[in-house]
Amino acid sequence: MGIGHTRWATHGKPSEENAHPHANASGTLMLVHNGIIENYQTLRHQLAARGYTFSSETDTEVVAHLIDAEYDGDLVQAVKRALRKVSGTFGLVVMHARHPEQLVAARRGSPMVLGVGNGEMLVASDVAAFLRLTDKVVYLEDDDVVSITRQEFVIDTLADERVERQAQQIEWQPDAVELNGYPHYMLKEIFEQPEAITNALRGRLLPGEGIANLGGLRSVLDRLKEAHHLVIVSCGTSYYAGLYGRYVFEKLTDLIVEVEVASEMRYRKTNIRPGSVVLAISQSGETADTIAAMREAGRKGALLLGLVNVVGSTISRITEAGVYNHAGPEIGVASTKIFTSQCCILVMMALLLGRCKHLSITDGMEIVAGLERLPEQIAAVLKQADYIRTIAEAYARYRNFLFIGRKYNYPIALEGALKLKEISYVHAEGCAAGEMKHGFIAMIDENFPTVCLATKDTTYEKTLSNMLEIKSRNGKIIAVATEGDEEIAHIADHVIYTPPNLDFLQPIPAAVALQLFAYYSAVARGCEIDQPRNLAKSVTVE
Amino acid sequence: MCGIIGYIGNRTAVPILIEGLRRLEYRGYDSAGIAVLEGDTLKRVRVKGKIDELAARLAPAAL
Repeated sequence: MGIGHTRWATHGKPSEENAHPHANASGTLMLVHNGIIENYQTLRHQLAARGYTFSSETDTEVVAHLIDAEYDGDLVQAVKRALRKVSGTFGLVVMHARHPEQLVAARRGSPMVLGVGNGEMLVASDVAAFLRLTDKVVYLEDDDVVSITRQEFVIDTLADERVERQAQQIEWQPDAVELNGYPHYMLKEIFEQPEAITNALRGRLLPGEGIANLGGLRSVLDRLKEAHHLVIVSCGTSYYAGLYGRYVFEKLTDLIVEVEVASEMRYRKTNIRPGSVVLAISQSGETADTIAAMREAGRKGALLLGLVNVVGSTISRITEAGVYNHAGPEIGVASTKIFTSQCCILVMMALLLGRCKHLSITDGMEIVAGLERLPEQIAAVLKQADYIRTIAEAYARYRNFLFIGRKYNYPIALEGALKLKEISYVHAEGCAAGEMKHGFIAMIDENFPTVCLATKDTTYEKTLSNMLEIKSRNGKIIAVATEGDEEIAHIADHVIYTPPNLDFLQPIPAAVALQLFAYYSAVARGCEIDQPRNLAKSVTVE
Repeated sequence: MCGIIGYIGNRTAVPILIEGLRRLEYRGYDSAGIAVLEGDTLKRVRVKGKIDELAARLAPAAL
């Protein structure tokens, strides 16, 4: 029997003293915790007044002492009484030397999943932790307190009500969490994209009718058809997928679309009201700010939808309907396959709604065909990995990068810059190409290269002009352009070609080229790829 | 952010915990630690840094 923890520091700097597990004074009770105890200062003062001393700066140690103070021989009841005094979020696992046949776990706001094995049990923040041991899982819900023995588990709520939760079968293969010969999860996940996109599209396209069939939205389709207002809310890379989604929704539907950063929207007065549709995008489905923003939107009467990868996650449960990525676990901290999968699913959602409105069957059929070409088009970009690596190596000495793009390519420029920042620690900024002249171009000189997203669309000529403006100021240029575009090779120093498709689908393979560029830039700089400094995945902290 | 795991069963817990933490490391890697029941006492090992450092710290103890 045992417990383990890996920490992203919130309260107290990274040190051995602040590392989990935390213990009571006698070391008979130990626990691991994910989340933030908001009233820990108050609890700490109360416990200190009773003679408890603290060996760390953490909020978690307070819970260890609090359970100790409540303990009278029944560990489950002690945990419950302690947690009733706690405000904040927690996923925690507790063990006690006097209960050698029992673990107690509880959650509120932090993910926890129970793995049911044969004569053994596991509990973790994510099924990836034990996928090789069992694929039978039970998702715990907020305020669940579970007593776990080798043979069975019993779930109560904090309010002392017994609850039954069904065990579910996980569809992920155990080797989905292995590196399978790749040096990093990020590279593995970049190369998984043809398959991830195939999985996102599988069974969801009706080529003969030029429409998408999204089973997860069927129950709310009538309300979606009547909606006029869509708000997409997310953070980080998922926010950029949302920005891409706005252009596509605006093209294919008549919806008024807003895209919001969750940590801002949740505190703002918005115009969300009954009839509004609010779509959360989150790989983990546990992003704290996105969850909070959704709860606010729900209070205002909006229809809540989710686009998440992790089945059973909080966002999948607080939304009325939604679509899963079905992309398998994403472990690299810098999101790659989920971004392109999110983009494809947003296109399918827009296609479905558009076809229910003014979009013609022939237009719809073209879009379906375009989507179906994406897996092989991404594979074609992946074949250029060695070439992209040579470009990344050639630019490894630069400390600054600008990424520009227009229209559908603008969010891709933002995402390309974010990827480079995340794993290379190189200063990179994404900029709408047309905004460049309103300030950013002041930065450009021979030491400030620009990555230009210039796939063929209605804004191509304008982007080309921007490239010339950069070139005439001695800025180096890496262009991502559509195959067959020879003109651009005369302007750019380096060109990465991606396959032609509908104008709004071309940016998806282009995004893959930028992922490879970021990856190989980080390799060339000797950076930690899967665990970039200061970052972590599944941002359950606000 | 932060990854946690618990194991109860007949197998030796340490390798299962370490393996599990490696899968959760994407959730944070500032520090790491485990505690296991040995006889009737709880044994705890914690390190600043990544799971590799925790595994290295445990290696001599495992002998």
